[in-house]
Amino acid sequence: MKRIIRYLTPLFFLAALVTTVSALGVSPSAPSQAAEESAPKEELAYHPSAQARLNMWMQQKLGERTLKKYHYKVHQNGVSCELCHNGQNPTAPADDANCIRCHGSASDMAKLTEERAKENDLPNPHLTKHFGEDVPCTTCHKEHKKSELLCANCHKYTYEKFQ
Amino acid sequence: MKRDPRRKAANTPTKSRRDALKNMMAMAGAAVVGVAAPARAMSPGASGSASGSVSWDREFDVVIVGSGFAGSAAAIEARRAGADVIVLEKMPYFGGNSAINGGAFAVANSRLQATLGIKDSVDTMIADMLKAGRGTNHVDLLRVICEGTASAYEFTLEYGVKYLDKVLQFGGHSVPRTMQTRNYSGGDIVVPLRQGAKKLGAFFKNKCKLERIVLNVQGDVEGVAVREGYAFPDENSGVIRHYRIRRGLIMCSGGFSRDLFYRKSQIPTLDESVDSTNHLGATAEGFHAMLAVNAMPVNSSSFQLGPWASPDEGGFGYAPQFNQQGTFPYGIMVDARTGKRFVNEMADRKTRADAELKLRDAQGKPVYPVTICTTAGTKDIPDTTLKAALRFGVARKYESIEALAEHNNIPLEPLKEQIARYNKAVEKGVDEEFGKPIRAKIFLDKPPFLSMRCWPKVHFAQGGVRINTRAEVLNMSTGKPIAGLFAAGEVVGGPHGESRLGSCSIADCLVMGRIAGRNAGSRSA
Ligand SMILES: Cc1cc2nc3c(=O)[nH]c(=O)nc-3n(C[C@H](O)[C@H](O)[C@H](O)COP(=O)(O)OP(=O)(O)OC[C@H]3O[C@@H](n4cnc5c(N)ncnc54)[C@H](O)[C@@H]3O)c2cc1C
Repeated sequence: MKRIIRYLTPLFFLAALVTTVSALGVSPSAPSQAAEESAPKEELAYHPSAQARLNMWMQQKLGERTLKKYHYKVHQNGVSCELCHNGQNPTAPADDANCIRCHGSASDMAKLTEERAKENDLPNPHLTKHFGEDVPCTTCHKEHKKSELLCANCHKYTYEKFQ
Repeated sequence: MKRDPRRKAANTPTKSRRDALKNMMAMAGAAVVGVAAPARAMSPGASGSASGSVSWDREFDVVIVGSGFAGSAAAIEARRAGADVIVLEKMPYFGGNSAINGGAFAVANSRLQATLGIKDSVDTMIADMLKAGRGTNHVDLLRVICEGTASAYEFTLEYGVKYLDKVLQFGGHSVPRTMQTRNYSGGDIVVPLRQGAKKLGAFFKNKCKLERIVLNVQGDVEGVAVREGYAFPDENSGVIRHYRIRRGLIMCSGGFSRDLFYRKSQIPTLDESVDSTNHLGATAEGFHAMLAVNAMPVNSSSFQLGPWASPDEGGFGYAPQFNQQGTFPYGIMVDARTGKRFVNEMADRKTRADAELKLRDAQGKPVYPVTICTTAGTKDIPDTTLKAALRFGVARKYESIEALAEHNNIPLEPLKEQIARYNKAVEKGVDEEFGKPIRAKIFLDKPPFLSMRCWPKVHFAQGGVRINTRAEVLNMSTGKPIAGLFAAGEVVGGPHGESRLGSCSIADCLVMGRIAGRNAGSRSA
């Protein structure tokens, strides 16, 4: 199953690409240019056009899926789902352990937001009296859809910078 | 909750052909339950052939379902008894209702009561709980619970739980016996217990949902089918795995006040117009899994509604503390149409909620009652709660009673007359209108006035499975324990009868959770 998806992915990619290209009315030489863009040596760089194609592909494949701006780089033009999804196909849920690799541990996050929460006279979202530090990142922070605050089930506040 | 998880589960698309087969078997099992076949045939794993087809993915001495008070306490005791332990939690976060709970814990004969010279006894606590429960409580369980509170309290201290230095007297309790955690949150208890259990070596697994219980040919618990990688509330998410159990399965899956399909089936009026204070995962499938192996249900349609909740916020929120520590003892609650009180604001929960639910217009739409007090009446409300309730518009402040009446659409003159009558009652120390105990000389006189709109929310499920005093679940056909099946906490029915007394659930969950953990952990396979 996984393998099929893996093989299909480039096909979708290509289909989306062709659609984009024809929609934009770009000359047929564009595809080869794109092929260069996704060449392995440049994989780590961020390419706005590749990202646009990826977004389109994702929309076709998965419906209205968003990607957080600050994750564009991490996402590496859509060839690195495993950075969050653990080497599985992107239909498997993301693993928190992967968030921690870049963002630091739960305690690090708690320290990061402590000051601002205090300034705004709100509880520290990463260290609460109900859950301690134990709420997995993806409970509130959603990548491909609107994030939702767990606290909001009962409480009316929100955090300005929450995304 | 929009969707009912159980009904969707039947249509689960499958990850593999093997799972497809298993799911079909699960459906067959469910169908059998529908016609009340004998216990053996209840679980698909119970018949010889089906049991043989289960290939176990993992094996544990003790599996605990649910990571609230009951599950966490059970995990510690089962580890102490030498069992290897896994705690399954279907939600991404741990703690269930226990995490969002208010941290009020009734203890008979606590150290602090002794220090403060408060006379209490196990029998007094039993009598109080029986009175609230309308005499329908299972007294054998009640006795074990009340007797166990003092040591359960010490147990929490051992794991670093911190309480205020005072003992509170909650409505319906004849003496002050409620211990209050420092931050007014059940998280103050359940987080340290989880850390303690982890330190002892218990393994906590989130996003893992119990699907069904598998029995062997003798009808004893042999294992469970779970959904790993479950993404609540998507019943198609994750994969089915089978865990074999050597000693015992402890069901601590909590209440089901958020299970709309279940709730409405039992009591049609508890529909969408009535919210719940519970966390979103408070649904009934854990209870159902036990019914599917012939567990005896008790009081399964008995729900408690919280009379102190507000329609102007979701879930539990700030209203309960605001009203319980403020407007109810030191103010009044009026029918917005008449300006008159309609119930003893300190009566037990059922009396108050039932009275509130009657306040409806000709179309049956709720007419929210309004609670009122002065600043003096807010003295016992924790500062953070009071501030937040006002800041987020759940409570409001008015410079005059006229402004309050106008904003809430209450006829002014009748309201003023009501306030005058109430002030007289405070002066006298006796409430002749509704018999509310007058605790302090706090009058409704000086502005500013504070108010809140109220509407009951489903708060607690008194119903659940029948257990004995060893926390073993009883088979409804034989009356004997289902070997290897234990249950504790809100998913158990009986201890609270028809109406639970405030702060007695923590007591129940911790005491029975510990007993279940000890007995499952030391059971010889
Ligand atoms: C807002 C609020 C405030 C309260 N305040 C108080 C108070 O101050 N004092 C008091 O005594 N009582 C209070 N109560 C009641 C008390 O908190 C609950 O009765 C108690 O927390 C129940 O504990 P539990 O361990 O039985 O279940 P829970 O704490 O609810 O834990 C059960 C867990 O099992 C999980 N689960 C369910 N089904 C499955 C499944 N199939 N597979 C895997 N996991 C599953 C749930 O997600 C949940 O996390 C309050 C309740 C609420 C809602």
